[in-house]
Amino acid sequence: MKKYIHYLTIAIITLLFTGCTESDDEFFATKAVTVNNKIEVSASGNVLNVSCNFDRILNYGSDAPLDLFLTTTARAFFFNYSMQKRNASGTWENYIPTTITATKGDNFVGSYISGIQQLDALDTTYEYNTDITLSPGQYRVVVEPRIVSLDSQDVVTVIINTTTVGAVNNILEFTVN
Amino acid sequence: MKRISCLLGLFLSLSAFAQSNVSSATDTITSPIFSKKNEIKVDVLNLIGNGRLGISYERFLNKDFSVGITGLAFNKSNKKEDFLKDDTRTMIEYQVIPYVRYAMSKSATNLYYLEAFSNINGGQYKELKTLNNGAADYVVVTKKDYNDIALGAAVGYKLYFKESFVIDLTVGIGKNLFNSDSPSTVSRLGLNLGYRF
Repeated sequence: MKKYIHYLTIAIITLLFTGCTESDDEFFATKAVTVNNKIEVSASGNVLNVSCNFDRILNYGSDAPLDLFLTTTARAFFFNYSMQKRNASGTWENYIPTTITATKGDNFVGSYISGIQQLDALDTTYEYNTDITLSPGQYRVVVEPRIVSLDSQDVVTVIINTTTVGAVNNILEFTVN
Repeated sequence: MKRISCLLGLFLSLSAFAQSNVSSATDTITSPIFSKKNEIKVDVLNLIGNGRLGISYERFLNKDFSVGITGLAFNKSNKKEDFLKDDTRTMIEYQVIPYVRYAMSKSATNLYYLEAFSNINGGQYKELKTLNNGAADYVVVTKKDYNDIALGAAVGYKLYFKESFVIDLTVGIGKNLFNSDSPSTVSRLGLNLGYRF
């Protein structure tokens, strides 16, 4: 009998742990849409320009467009990108730009850059435009093509999966002379 | 999860204690505890931890088997208010748990047991709903009601004092069977204080 007790106890404990890891029900209030070509990068002279503009009423291929502000209550969206510079031995190294100017929207600069698209005064367009001034060298900009609503914890988070104009597979390599 | 692990640790400790005391002097089949066939209990763990009021009644059929029923009602207003904002998908509001228990040790004063139970449970779940204001769609989080029945198993430990008062620890899990919107599993956790008569 004792043997059966131990077998049963082990079986139940195993079941308990399995259940705990499998079924912690979580709810992610997220709406994901796909709209291509919403991020643009271009290099000219010693300036890298990065921009991202999209309508608040977003056409995404469905019958009706999606009202981003009504869904998220977010006045800002963001996407991330990073920069690398080739060193003397030809290896790409992470590069943090020092001269970065946002003409529309904002930037949070760390080991990567978070570009912030802000809703304009008319509440019609989320806008972001930034110039990065660079010293001579070979550079690479790597874009994460996913635009996400900012600070919408209490409502629905919208993720816009997109592509980058001016970059192949979301990577642009260029040289500043 | 942390709470379950702590309880499991406590339970295992108590189980080991129960095993080592199977043949103590007070554990005889003539114990007056066996003559008392009814037990009522209040779940202090769920009351303090989850704001759930849990009351149980257990009827002892013989030395080995007992049957019982537990009712759990959720009544914590701030949790209900936060439900739409937090990251949990479901909120259980009530549970009715009929169960059968088999005593694994023959001691009258401390024993551990296996339990098979069903769990009739209901509450709310969240889902995304797309609305249209005439110009565009927008998405909101909505909550809806659910009801379901789970089957499960548990292990537990009981310790009697003064031949009437009992501490009853139960740890188990059940699986909801019929409603895809309900929680896939329901836990059976309880630390009950009770009286046997």
